[in-house]
Amino acid sequence: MARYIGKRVLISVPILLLVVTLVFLAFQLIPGDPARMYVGVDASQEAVERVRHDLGLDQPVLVQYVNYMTRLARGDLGKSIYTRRPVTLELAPRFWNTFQLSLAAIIFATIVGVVLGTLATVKHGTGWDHLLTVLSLFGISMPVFWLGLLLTYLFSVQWHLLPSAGNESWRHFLMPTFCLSAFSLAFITRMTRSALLEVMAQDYVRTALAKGVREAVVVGWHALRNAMLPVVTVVGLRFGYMLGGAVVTEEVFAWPGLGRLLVTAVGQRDIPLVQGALLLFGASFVLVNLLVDLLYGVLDPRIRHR
Amino acid sequence: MFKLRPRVVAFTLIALAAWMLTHYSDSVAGQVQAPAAPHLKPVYGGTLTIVMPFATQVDTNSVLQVNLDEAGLYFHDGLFDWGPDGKARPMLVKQKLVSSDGLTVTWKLQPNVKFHDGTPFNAAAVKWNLERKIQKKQSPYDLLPFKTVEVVDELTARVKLDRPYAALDGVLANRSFSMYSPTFAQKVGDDGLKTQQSGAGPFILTSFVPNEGLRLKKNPNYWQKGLPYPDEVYIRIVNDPNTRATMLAAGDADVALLLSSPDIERFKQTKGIRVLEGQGSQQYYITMNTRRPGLNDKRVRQAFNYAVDKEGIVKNVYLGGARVAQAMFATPSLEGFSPAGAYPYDPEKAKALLDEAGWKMGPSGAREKDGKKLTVDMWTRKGSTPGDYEISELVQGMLKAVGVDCKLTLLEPATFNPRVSMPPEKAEYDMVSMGFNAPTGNVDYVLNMLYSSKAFPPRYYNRAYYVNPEVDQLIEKANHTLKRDEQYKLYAQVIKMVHEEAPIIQLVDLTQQVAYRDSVHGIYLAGPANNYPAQFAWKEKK
Repeated sequence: MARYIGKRVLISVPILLLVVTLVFLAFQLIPGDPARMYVGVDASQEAVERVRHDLGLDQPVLVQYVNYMTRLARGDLGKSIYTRRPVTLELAPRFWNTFQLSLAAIIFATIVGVVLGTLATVKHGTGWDHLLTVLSLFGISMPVFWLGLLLTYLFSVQWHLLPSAGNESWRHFLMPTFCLSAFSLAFITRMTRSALLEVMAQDYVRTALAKGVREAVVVGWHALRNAMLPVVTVVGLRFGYMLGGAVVTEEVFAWPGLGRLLVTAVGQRDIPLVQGALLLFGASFVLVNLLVDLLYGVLDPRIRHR
Repeated sequence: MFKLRPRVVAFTLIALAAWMLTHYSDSVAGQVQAPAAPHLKPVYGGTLTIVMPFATQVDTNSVLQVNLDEAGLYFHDGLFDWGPDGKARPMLVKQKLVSSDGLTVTWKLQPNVKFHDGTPFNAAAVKWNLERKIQKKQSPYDLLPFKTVEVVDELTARVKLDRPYAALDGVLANRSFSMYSPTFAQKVGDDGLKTQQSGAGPFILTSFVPNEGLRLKKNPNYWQKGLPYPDEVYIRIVNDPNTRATMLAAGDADVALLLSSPDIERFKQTKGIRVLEGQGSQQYYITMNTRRPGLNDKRVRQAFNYAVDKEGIVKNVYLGGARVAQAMFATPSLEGFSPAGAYPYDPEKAKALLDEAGWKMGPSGAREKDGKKLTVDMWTRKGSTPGDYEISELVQGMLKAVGVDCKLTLLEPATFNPRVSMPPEKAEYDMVSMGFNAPTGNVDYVLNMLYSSKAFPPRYYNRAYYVNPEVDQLIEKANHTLKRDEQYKLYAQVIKMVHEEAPIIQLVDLTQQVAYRDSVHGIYLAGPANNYPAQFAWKEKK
């Protein structure tokens, strides 16, 4: 097992290096000037040149690349162009904020999604099933920004129940969590339903039911466990995406997470910060995928022994 | 017992949604603005929360940027400050003496002023700050025509100028010329100043988190006795204008900056919220590259001005929150302003002028001359200035209506900024749709930075590459004229000439607008700087 994990981690290193190199190249290829961005459109050329020199952007591209990679090898992600603070210091609190929100959202989405999906299977073909289908369709197609605006309008502006933005207390978590989880929740509901329906049609389920095992036990224990594989895959993927920063949710609720940081940094051409953020995004994605793989083994012994 | 049925649940959900929708429209319409509170006695204490977009660092002197300037008002004082009348007034300078030739300015400084770190504010600090700005070439350092800065005594500083400069107070009233504590700045270094500041302002910056916010606490030793009122100020950085509006409506913010026009209109009708509006120095216009075929003909440029319906832009894009501009680049709030008028919306006249210039309607529906189509490429951004893209689209349509084939090129800011800052031979645009403001509060800036042929990018902002030797001469003459009324006459003459030659499509002056809770008193609009000082405001206890 340890060997398997070690191998997976090792494979991720070249992947991440590739990510960094591609991002570096992309910034060389796309138009845009970080120095001009910093001083603004109405600043004199001398001021721009001065900033360009201070940032080391007047050096040849290859020199810049080698410098960056050398520093990276030493674990130094560089400094943000704007705050001149180490990128790691900028990213850490942002990532923690995003992680908290994503974790809350994925837990909420998974628990509620699996329960509703199971409910839809048990009540297959009835009005409840149809209602849940409609609701999950709603969840999948509802634009997050609209849902966010609607929620804040009702809960903050009209009823003064919840704070409209920020992340200071647990009350600040409720709306963004719901918003961020809406899509995943609906998706997991659908996924659970279809996977479970497939399993329910299997012989062993029919046998169990025929020999008089209670339906709750058959569905909740035997069938659900076997239906979990695709659901876990979806949960893992969704969680990975969320860790990359939920840009829209973060924007609507002014949540100081990684997504907002990344969008701002790209717009401003704060290259070290963007590279750091993407590296972190890549690393967390790789890690989540690894966890999902390991979870497969827990759920399905056949995978473990392969 | 009642049994929960899917049909009942579905019905309830639909009913709830319907109620929400109708309820929403109810609350928007039909409310009247509360009458302004009678003059109340200021109250101390409380936290003033301000929401605004975008501040990724707090080194106010490193660059002149409106939002950074706005934040700087709270923790920095300047030698001068913008007053509610839109004029620069002394702040850390107590008294100003100008020599008869206008070339020597002596400042008597406020006594007993200390920076937040305890360093005394004096003439040496003034010299250090101004020289640092120039030496580090921090934009817009070039607005200071300084020969030397001298320390006369502890509380007297003297500057020698290259030319008499009426706009000097206005330049120094921007927080891009803040007085930093020299001791502190040297201690934390240039990098440290991006996130930490020590100034002489009414509040002390206690923490700054990029893209999240600035927390400030009252400066107990502030030199203006009795000020400021609140114990704390929290400047929250919220990029999305809808979120800023929601936070204000929900009472989570006291002051919300840079809202969308629909939100401003809604807040004018909302109980508990006030809207303050006034003239700033922001103009929206379209530059025409006067070196391009077609656009090098004055008649074509005038035709473009006639072809555009400015009233329509004011009404449809800004919902009334703008005025038709009366001069090129210059707004009425600038010192030395004189109106040149607006080109009336007259498509027929535009067509006639284009015909006269030899651009006749071709078979393709576009105008042609010598077999070449009148095609222009207009560059624009989306969301950098309110209404930028909408205006560009409207103008495109209006130009099409008189037979001009106008192409729209949308650029993101990081690409746009460097590409509109090129010398004439490298410029790739025919037209650029963008905004402008004059941070010095004086027409002098417009003349020297936009009209003069010495002001081509990349140095300055004459993006039309407009050249008129006579205009250049008059500007030079105005620059060296001491008598204010004579100088203003020259300004007026230049403004008229440039207006006639139309290097830009003159569009609209933007109205500056801010919305705030009615419990806040003492916020005002600082004209040319386009910001809303609330550092001396106070908040009713609720």
